[in-house]
Amino acid sequence: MTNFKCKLADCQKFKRIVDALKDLVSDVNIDTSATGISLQAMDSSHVALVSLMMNQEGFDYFKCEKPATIGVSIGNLSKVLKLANPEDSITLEFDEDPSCLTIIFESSTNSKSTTFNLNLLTLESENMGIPDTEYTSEITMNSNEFTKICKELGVISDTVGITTTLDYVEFSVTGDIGSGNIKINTSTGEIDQSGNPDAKGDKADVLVELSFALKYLTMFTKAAPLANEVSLQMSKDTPLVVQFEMSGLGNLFYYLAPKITDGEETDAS
Amino acid sequence: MGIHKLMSLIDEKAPDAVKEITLDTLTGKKVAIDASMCIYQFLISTQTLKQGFGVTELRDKDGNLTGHLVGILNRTLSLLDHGIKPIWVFDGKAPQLKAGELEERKEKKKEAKEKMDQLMEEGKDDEAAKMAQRSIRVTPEMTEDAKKMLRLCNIPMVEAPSEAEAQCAQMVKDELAFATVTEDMDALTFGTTVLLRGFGNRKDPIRQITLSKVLEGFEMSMDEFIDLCILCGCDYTSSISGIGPVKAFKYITQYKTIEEVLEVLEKENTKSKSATKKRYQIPEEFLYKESRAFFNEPDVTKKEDLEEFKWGTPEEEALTKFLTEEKGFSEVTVNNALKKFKKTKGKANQKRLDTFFKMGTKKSTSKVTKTKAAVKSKGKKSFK
Repeated sequence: MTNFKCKLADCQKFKRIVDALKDLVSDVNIDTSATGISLQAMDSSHVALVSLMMNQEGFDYFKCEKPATIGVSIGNLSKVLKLANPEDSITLEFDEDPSCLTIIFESSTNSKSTTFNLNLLTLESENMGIPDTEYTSEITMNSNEFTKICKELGVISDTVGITTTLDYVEFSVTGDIGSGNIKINTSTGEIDQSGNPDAKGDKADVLVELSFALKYLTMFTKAAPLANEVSLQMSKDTPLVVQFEMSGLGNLFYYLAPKITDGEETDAS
Repeated sequence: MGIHKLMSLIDEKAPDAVKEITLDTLTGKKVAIDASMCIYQFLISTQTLKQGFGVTELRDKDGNLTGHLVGILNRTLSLLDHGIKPIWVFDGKAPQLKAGELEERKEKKKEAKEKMDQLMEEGKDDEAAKMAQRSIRVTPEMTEDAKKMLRLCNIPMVEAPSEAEAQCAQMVKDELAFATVTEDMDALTFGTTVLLRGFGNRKDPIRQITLSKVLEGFEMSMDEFIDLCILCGCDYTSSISGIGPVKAFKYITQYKTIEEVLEVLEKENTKSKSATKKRYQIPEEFLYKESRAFFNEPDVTKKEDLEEFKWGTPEEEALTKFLTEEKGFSEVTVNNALKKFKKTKGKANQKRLDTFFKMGTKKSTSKVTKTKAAVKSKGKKSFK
């Protein structure tokens, strides 16, 4: 008996979501319920986490009899998605106690259909309880602009420092060849700054000052085609949240643990 | 070495205690490495056999072996590159209890050396190489070289008052490190909460063994576990012939302590028909009480008396001078190592998400015949 079935008229959307996951995680548990599809997974070094929520309203067809958790290899799913043509629709379905996930691509004219049964895995995944946090600084910017910054700075250094004030946001790097920064003023509207400035540190004007591994930020930017805007939420000594809102379909969140700057010593053993 | 067949026993009785991991999963953590154990591994792996030349080793101009220096340097770099902070722990004075074991090892080494020379003369190179591995001896100078090199690299190092694996275990218990890295299983008996094995072999994954899960799987208390290890055969006392790991496990499960087990064994011995050959030969000097005390209270330096660990950058000039002029390293090798050191800088500064978020586990509800875990365990040997 079919326990779960959903359909998206545009399989490209689904493909982009899988592309946004596959660099970061390999095998994931996907949860299905009456409200939609969700997943949460960490990279192997436990530095970054991705959390996906796809609302049932965003699908062209959605039915879930009983909540289920299925183990899927993202790498293999990505291979199967290569069978689709750009104009195809995609249908996902599985039974109660499933051993495979059925994926169907249909052309818009109904002239051709491709069906693949992807074997499922039994995975024990680590689940993170993410506390509600009020962030000191939340910046919103064009997602392509963010991709460009990460890509370009990634060539120079493996770490980027992000400093935000009420007036500007600064991305800075130090590499073997020298050091530099990209400064974007908030007044021009290219970048939007909000958050809770009351929680800022002791340095005047500076809301947050954090360092992150560009390797991970670059992986996150794979989600840029899914949303026009990206928002970064930051607080002192807290993981960065990178959010892509997929119009109507839900949200893709990435969490990234900060790097400690030289001189600081960590107690985490 | 270590505890006889404990690993097979864990694989069999407490498979949940073992997790196969990659170095990535340790990013941001500190590990205590049993240096003395590694030195042997490195010396063995740097031995090469050349046709007509016999067994050759990496040596400096004074004839001291240097293979271990290459090994320690590379291991350190590979860990730093994954954002893992190593603390090297060296053996101190061997405990009195180990004297018997050490004497035996020395004897074996001498034998191996003699055999090697003989085989070499007979032209049996392959067998000679095996004997060469067994005949390796680590001199105090070689250990000093390793310490000096680490000091110049500014990598933390601890000189244990006695056994290195006991010191490692203490540091893990004191939360100075996440795990003990050694092949020596008695680190678990000394109470390390996590043991990492298999660093020497690049092909196989690293195995992470969690003590609490071993005890859970064995359904034993720590005291019973220590007694089990002694019965299996440890470095500190000779063992009872006729008792292997399987029987040791059965007896400790049933009778809980070695005292009780001994009583049972004595009874069985008297029941035995043949008067000349007893079923179980309990050694005259079965030092289980002393061994137990040593496992419980080994001679270690506690947290309060250790210096704070710091991971710095190498003293380039001094290190280059030491390695190239005294230890016969080529300048290229040293320069490459220094370059790698620079590249690893900052990698260990990455924090992990689990320091911020609470973790739980979740399992797929999907029914799958061929599970991932089953595929992974394919290569495991079952215990016979």
